[in-house]
Amino acid sequence: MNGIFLKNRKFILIILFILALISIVWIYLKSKGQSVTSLPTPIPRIFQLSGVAPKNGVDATIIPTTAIEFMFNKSIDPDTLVVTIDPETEFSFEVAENRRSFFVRPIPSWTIDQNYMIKIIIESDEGEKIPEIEYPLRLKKIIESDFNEVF
Amino acid sequence: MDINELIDRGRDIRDVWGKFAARKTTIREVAEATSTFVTSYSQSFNVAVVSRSSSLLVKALPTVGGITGFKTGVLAQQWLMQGTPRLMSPQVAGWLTAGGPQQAVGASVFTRTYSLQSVSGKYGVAIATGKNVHGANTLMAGVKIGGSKIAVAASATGTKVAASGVFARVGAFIGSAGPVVGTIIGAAAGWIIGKVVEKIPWDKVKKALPYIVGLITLPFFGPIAGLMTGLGTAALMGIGAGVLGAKASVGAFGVGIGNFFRILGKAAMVTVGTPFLITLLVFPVVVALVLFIINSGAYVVPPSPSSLNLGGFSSPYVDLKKTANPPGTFSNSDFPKEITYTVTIKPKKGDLNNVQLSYDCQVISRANLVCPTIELEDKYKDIFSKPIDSVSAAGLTFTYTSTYNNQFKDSAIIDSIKLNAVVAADNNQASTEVSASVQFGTPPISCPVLGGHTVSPQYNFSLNQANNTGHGSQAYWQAMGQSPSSYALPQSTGCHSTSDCSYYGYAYDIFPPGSRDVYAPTVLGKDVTWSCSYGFVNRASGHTYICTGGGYTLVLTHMAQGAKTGTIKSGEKIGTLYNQIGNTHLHIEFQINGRYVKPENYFCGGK
Repeated sequence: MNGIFLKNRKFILIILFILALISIVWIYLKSKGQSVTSLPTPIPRIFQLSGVAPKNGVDATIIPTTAIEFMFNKSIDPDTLVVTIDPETEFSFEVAENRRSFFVRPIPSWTIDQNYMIKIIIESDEGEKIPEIEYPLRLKKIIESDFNEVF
Repeated sequence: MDINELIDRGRDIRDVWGKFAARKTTIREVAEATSTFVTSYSQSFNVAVVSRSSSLLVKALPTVGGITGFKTGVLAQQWLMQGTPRLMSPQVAGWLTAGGPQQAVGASVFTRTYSLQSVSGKYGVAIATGKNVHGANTLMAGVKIGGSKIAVAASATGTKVAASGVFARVGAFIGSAGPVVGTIIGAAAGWIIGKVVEKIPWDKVKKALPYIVGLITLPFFGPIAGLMTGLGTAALMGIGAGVLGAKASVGAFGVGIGNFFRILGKAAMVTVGTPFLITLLVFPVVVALVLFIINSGAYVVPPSPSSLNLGGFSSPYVDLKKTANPPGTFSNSDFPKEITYTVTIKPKKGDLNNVQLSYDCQVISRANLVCPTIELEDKYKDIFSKPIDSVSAAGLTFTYTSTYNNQFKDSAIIDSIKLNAVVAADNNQASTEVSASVQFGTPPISCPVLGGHTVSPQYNFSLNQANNTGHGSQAYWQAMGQSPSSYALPQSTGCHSTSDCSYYGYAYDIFPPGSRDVYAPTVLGKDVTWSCSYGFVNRASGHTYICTGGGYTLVLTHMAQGAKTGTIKSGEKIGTLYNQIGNTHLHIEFQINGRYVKPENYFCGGK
């Protein structure tokens, strides 16, 4: 094989070069297609919900006792907090120490495959209001975890 | 390096891995010999090769090709596009764990059948075999010396190769190698490479190489050079589909090898020439051997009890075992109870000198108790106060007894031995420890693993953002051989960073010093009546059980299947840890009123 290669060295090199160029173009196009352009996040000036954990409430695979965490970009006023869960569910809530998030905890736990709608009304410490937050939740039973911790 | 030297090194590596299989050498020697042979071209870097298919053509091997159907496909292409290899982190590349190789074979599951990993200072070697998600035999091997690492991972999905000619002899060699067949990779590779090298027209190849390397790599540094070199490799080695008449994709192969050489590329730029050529020719042959071994199925060996070491506390130089007889948990009506502890010291690699044993005993009880005085055999009455001059390979076994009276009701006794010795062969220090525990009634156990503690503050605790350590930190992911955010922490929460949730990385790893039993713990010293149930499977790393009670939720991961479910009170045994060989440990996550908190603040004294 090496003999064959040596005899046709120039030819093969040209082919290789072309192949390489094609590959580079292909990879460039592919990576371009997959790339995610991230724009700088503007500094929020208004009070808003910055996140919910779990992010996707529908088909969430959390342990059923897990409280849902609602995170905000400013300190919240716990006195203005109104939480409703449909269907009616016993729950408690707890405000985080930094007052930037609070937790809605089911008592004793969420029911698997039950469709919930959690509605939140909250104001910031400074009295800023935001539209009512609606968070649909449906837990899916955890069958397996991709957690694989190998030291 | 000339051919003779290459062949000599091949023989050396065969010999040293053979000695390793027989436990007659040191990790340092194995690591140095292997890496000297395989990575002489390179300063460091991760070297990874992935095979998704494995039709192996015997007749191609003498002409260096040796492998067809060598497809890395999407995975390798992803690596290339991302510019960093996802297979191995710098910390663990070549120091193989299931985390990297399972990605390497493109499978999300790798069930280890056999694994062996040892580390001594900056030297480490590791071998693992098992099956991937497709049920294909998979084999991995790696070596590291400090920051230099090399690893090979391969999985068989193709047809088995027919053993003939040289392979028949290799097969016979493998077949006679006994249970540690994985170690034959190096040995067989060395032998085969020596034979192959003899057949290479070095002069002709050397003449051609500078043109190829120069033309292909010099205009393009970095990843592009790797790709180009990879494509060049495919052609140079004659592995093209047309040549071998197989289904191999030259492009995919080139990209796969390209990944390897991309990593290698920076060093190759400096030292292009003979070392590069040798690498080019040698590495595929090593992979070919790996594939052959996989195809042969000979290496798949069930784990034997003697090969199982509990995580974090094993020593490459000595086995230290301890048993309590009678074993187990006793009721509060069983007093007085005399327990005989048997300690066995078994050197693995020659005599141990200046063997110092220290004894420690801890009582976990609601009362303030100390362990009773132990009674040693006359012959060994000074064994904990005076060093033993030498323990030969035959080993040493001694016993002592403790008698417990009814003041020990609802108590757990953790009886521990620590060993420090000098290895006669190389003056290395051997250190290890072991515990045996007994329980009476329901002791107030705060640590689900008796006597358990962390082995690495850098990884085992919850995330500490201040110093970027603990679960979910950069160091953690590197140690796991995983890409950041490969999985959620805590598990199944969907939380992959601190911006996803406030409790990202809240988890705690506890390693057992002896027994693998797992107990229902107290919380902050208070008994809890837990309700435990099976949670979910953790694929290749055991099972998760979830216990709730008193507003708490305790997640126990890396458990063996068959743990107790239902009502379990603090101090009662839940089950045992899943055997992860040298990585056996309990991973816990903890909620209070639905909120995840750092478990180390509540269990095991945060040790």
